[in-house]
Amino acid sequence: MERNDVKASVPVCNTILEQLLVLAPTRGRSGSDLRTAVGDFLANVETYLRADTWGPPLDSIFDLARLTGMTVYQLEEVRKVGAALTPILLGAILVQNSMIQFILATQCRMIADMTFVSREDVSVIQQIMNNAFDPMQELAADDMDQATFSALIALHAALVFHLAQTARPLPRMLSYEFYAALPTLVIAYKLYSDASRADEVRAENKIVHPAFSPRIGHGLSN
Amino acid sequence: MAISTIRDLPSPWRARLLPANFDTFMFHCETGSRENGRRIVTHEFPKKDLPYSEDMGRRAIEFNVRGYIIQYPADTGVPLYQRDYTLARDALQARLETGLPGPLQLPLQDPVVVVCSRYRLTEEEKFGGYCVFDMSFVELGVPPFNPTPSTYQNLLQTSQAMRNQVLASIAQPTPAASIRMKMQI
Repeated sequence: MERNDVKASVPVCNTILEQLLVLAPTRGRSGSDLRTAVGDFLANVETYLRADTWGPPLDSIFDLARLTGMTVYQLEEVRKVGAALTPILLGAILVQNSMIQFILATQCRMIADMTFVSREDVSVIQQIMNNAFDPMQELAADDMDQATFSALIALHAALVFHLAQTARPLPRMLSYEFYAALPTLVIAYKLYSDASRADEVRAENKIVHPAFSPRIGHGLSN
Repeated sequence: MAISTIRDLPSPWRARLLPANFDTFMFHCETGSRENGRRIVTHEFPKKDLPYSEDMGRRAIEFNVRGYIIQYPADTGVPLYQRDYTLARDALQARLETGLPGPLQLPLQDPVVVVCSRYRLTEEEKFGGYCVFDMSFVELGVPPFNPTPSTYQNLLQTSQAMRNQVLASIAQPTPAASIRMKMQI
């Protein structure tokens, strides 16, 4: 990469990776590994960029972020920060696009390991990912970068198929409304004929005190 | 509006008519029947008055088609409309004998992927330039125990492929990107 591109690319790397460190859980061995990898990369970023060898360390950073237990939603925030940047030089644009593509691949890898409770959870993720994929597919198509375009399309298709298959057996979320504020035990019994699911009702509706839950809430269809 | 022929009558079904063919091999369709139903097994029990008819699933769709190929007054680009009717006859016969599945399109029915279970080609001396195909088709369906792909594994593989692609594009920028970068510099 040429010197001008390197200079323009450094802020892109800094912004995205600093946001990654802000949102990723940095405790424990995996967190330490992530901090070390990001720190090492940012210290040597100009060398990596000039030699066009910045791909493998970046790939490793996003994989380490996944291993820290970072969520899809957190990584989505990092992606949004990266997408909001407006670099001018092509080298910096290449860095920005590549980092977003790494994020998309990592998000899909995270989704593969996720456990969903209801179809609504799946549809929320699907909407987020569709919004994330669409601009990158447009960009790849406009750049005539066929290999990246087909890889993005294949990944998007695999994700949609996986989410559709995952959502199929899941129950739907339904709204309920009772006549008075009831304990979660009573609500669970009324909804599911199973009072032992009271904690599930509490967690789903973020109820502060289980004895006095709001009259209106959400529950699963089975 | 004066109606001069029966085709001038407004009839929506006529607009949907399609040329009959089996895997693009065309024929004129004289009759086309579709047969389907449920596989009902009736259990009759000793010392009981009431039987029990158990539904064991849908029957395979069967088609019995009588098609014909006839000599056309002039040679056209369409194989079915030729002076030599044997060209279309031989092509259809060869296709039926392959035994391979293919889409069957009847004039007013949705296409179905079928296999030909048997056919009869009839030519009569008094009808020169004309032959009749009596064909039986059965729905192809899907093979049993077809393993469904694991969406989890598929997602892992495509995710890894995406990362590999990004690495490859970084290590070797595309020619178009390289040229534009140089032009910008």
